[in-house]
Amino acid sequence: MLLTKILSQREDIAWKEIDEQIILMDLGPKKMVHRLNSVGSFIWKELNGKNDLAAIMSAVCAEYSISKELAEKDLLEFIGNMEKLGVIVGS
Amino acid sequence: MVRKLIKKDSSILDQTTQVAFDKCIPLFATIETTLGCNYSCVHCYNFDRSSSMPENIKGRPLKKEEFIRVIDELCDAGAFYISFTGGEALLYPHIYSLIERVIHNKSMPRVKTNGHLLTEEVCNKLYKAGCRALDISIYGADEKSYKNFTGMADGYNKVLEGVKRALSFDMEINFNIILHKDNCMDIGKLIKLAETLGVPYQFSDEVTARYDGTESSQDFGITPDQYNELLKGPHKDLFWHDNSEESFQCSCARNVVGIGLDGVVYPCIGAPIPSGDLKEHSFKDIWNDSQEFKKIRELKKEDFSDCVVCEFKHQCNRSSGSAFVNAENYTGCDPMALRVAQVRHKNKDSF
Repeated sequence: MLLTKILSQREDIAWKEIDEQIILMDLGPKKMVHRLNSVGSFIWKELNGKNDLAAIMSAVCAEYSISKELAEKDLLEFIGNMEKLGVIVGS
Repeated sequence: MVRKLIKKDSSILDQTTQVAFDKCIPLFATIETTLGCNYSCVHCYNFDRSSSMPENIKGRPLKKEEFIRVIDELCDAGAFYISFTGGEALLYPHIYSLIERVIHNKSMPRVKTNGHLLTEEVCNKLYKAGCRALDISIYGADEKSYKNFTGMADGYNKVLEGVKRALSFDMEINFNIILHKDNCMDIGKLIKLAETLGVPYQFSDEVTARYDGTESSQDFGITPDQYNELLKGPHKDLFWHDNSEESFQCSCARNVVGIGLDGVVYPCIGAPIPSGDLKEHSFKDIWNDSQEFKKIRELKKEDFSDCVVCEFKHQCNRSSGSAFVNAENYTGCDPMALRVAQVRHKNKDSF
């Protein structure tokens, strides 16, 4: 996956940060509920259709003081999961 | 470090509800949009609908722009589920704008409705505004029952048509089946109706006094003899309640909040204790600083002094809001709940 990719949250996903964890509710036909941990929640909020993945990776590195390699690996895994769930779209 | 960023299990909402309760986050907000209604239900808790609406029952209704500000403030405070109620919420002309605002804030709008007005046009507008969930009150299993209870001659068929139409728009529908003395013995038919439509349901067997101070609504509640019969019938488990944990406090002012159409904030829309006015203060200030809310949050088990010594407490499902409406005592005994608990207690060996 290219780090120049810009992704955003799907418009009809309801979400709320409760006690540092984000709850996602897919209002589409699936009506699925998911919960992100604090790091996933941080990434989710960065998926605003403006930041590319490289910028998000740098933000993760800075926020959690981890190496670029680890941040990239985990960011891409997270994005893959979000894409499988269909809750993010390309801008 | 970034492992297991996502969890998926059926208890996510239950756990979130508990976190919101513990940390006092208003996860569930109900906004009253109008007291107007196309039905004249005999049990209505707002006011006696056999007369005209009392002029002083509410202050000046919030304007659309004020409702929108309130929605923004609720969402900022953590409201994830925002239910619009009435009266009949679909009679409020700006309901679609309010739904859109909830969606704009990434929260979940729900509409509580009697379902009578769910025409193709209304379903389409709801869907386009972003509404995907309706809570529909069901008052009977036939036209006669509807007419007697709501005063609407063609209510039953209209509601069924509306439900089917909303389902075709992929709306999530929940039935809130209102049980009263004239329909409670039709419980089998009511369940079959919901199951045939594939709609989840819950029952409400509580008929309270009205907010205008009149009490004739309670004449329509299930009688003790009927309750006794229901507790022996094929659906008896639906009417049983086990409170052996001795839980007397509810979610009022912890993860639940109610907003009146005039901007008055309540611990719950079913507990009409004025706790702040959104025309004068922000929601955040009221939620954090209201003396009424603070008192409720500090309640301990022993504060429910009538309940802790009650012989029937393990079969009682009192709600503090109903106790307040029925007996003007938020922490006291609700005589209606007690009456039901006594019948359950008599039947306890069957459960």
